Amino acid sequence: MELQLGLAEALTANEKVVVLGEDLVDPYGGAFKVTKGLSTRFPGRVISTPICEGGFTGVAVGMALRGFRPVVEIMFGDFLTLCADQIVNHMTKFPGMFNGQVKVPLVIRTPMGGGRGYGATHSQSLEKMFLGLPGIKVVAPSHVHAAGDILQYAILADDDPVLFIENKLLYPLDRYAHVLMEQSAEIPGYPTVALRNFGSGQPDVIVISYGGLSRELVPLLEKLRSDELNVTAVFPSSLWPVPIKTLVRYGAQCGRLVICEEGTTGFNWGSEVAVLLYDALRGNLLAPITRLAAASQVIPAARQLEMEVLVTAGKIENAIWELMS
Amino acid sequence: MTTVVRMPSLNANEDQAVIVDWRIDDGAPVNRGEEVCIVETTKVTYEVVAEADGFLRHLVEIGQVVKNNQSIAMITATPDEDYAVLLASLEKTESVTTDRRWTKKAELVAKKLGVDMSILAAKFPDRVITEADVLASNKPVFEGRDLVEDAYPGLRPQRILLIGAGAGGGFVTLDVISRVQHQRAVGILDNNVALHGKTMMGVPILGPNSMAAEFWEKRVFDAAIICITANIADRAAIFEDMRAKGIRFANVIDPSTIVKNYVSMGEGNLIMGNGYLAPSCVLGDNNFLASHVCIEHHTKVGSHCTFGPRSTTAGAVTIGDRVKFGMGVLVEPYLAIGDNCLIPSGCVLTNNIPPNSVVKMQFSQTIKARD
Repeated sequence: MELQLGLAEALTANEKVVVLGEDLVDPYGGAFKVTKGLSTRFPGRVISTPICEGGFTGVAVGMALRGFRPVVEIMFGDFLTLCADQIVNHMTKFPGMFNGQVKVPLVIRTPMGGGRGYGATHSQSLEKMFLGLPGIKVVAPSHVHAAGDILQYAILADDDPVLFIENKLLYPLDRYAHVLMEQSAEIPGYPTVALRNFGSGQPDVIVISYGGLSRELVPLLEKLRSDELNVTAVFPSSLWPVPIKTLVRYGAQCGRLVICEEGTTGFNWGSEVAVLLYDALRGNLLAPITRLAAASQVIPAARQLEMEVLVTAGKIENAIWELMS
Repeated sequence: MTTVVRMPSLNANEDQAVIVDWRIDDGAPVNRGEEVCIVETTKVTYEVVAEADGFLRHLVEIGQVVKNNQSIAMITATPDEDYAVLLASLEKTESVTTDRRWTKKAELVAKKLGVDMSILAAKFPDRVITEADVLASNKPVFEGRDLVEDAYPGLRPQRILLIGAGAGGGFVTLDVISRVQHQRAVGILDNNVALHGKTMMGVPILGPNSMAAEFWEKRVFDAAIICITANIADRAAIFEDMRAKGIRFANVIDPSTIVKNYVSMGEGNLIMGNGYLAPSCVLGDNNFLASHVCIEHHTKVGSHCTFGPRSTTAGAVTIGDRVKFGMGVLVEPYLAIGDNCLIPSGCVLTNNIPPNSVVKMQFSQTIKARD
């Protein structure tokens, strides 16, 4: 498990690193087992907290101000609302309010996404609520990224607060690596990975996505290869700031773009990325950019209904063929 | 009526469960609502209940791990009812394989190009049709034009056979044909044996004039043109002979000659460059008009006549057959010229000419040495 290794290496590399969150300590090891074994290996530095997201996030902000490099685990991303005050009004404000004399090197890790039948309040992708917020980075690796390395960078090397979005469905997956994959580092520490399903030639379509949708897109690319469609899927690990130069570079390779994300439609990541791309690719687009996001409604618990609301490989495939025809 | 008992989905985190115990033996009667078996996930044990009356037929054994929604038992109407067909159909729907005949990209390209995929699929029954197949099938097909055995040439150029073309007349005729799109010279016939087997402007001299009938039979050409300009008797004789054999003749007209409205002409007329055929003039068959010849409006020309360069008729002149005009002849309006006349160069005709006449000019031309 990449994330567990990344955490372990960060804890090893710098003794100022601490991990706070609910149910982290062995034998439970966290709701998704990311911290399993770490409280045993690093006694006193992996701390189970009371059920009080606002409280322990605030504690972490204080520790960061005093020289620690804390990592906060929020059990479900849906609960970010409970520590939103600490994020919006405190950790992102202090460096500016104190004229750069303090730093808040803090990482909030939290799982997002549906597809597991967890229902309306444990399945959302709420990262869009924090996109565009000054003073924070929002990072969401896919399983094509070295997520552990990115987490390590966020903990050890990034002096800004980082909201680190994980995806529930990616936890059991091994990192996907392929020879037709390339990485660009427009934003230091948070690479954008592009995966293509063709050896040579030009792409027919560029798909821009992030996070858990890599799980849908990797097999979809394979399927589209058998239908002779050249597709490059581009996965930024940094949602905010947007690695726009990299996205423009890929977008310019062909004038057909699909942007898809798991969060709900309306004032979402894809909207901003599309506008930036329209600005940069004026006149080079063969068709309007297609955007896919979850339906603007509550996520049902029943698996089949849930799939109707969320973005799936089938929906992405349909959008791609529609764009092609 | 056979009812399928399936593994229920019990836990959002697990897609399978274990059969812990059968409460009804294999083949034993079961009532609706009765407990059939106990299944277990990591979090609960659960009693699966019969949804119909009948006899329970086990499909799995105790201890077996079964995926959610997979069939674990059948409830049949009789203890020995055969459920093999139903079971096979269930398994079939669980592993549906689609037999693809073409890739989606191929389908998309075919749609854009108007290629019929079903025809392509029939052509390559053993494999999936690719984009490359569609593109290859869409290439325009070129067939040897001369292999087409049609009486109606349609879109292809008219194939012209040149008769008596071994001299200057042949050369200027080839030049005219080289300037038009709708005709193409395919061969030359000439009675001069020394020329046979040679080419003129790239066109082969195939043999004597008498071979025309054979080539016509073989459909080697679509129409003939006679290029003899000096001897009207030969020109007329060859024309009549060939036409009697059914050979068609072409009108070969240099594109720099202007042909106005309501001009009518027969066939076999050979007309050189910079000529002018005025509205409503009429030409018969097998006439030769050298360069800069002007036939004015409402003038009627018979057949087998030859006009030297710059000969001009005024309006409404009537000319018979086999009349030979020299160079630069001028004919006043409304005159009539009979058959078989010979008009010398530089002549200005002011009177009607009866048939079989030769016009003689009174020259007073003195040539002396310069001072």
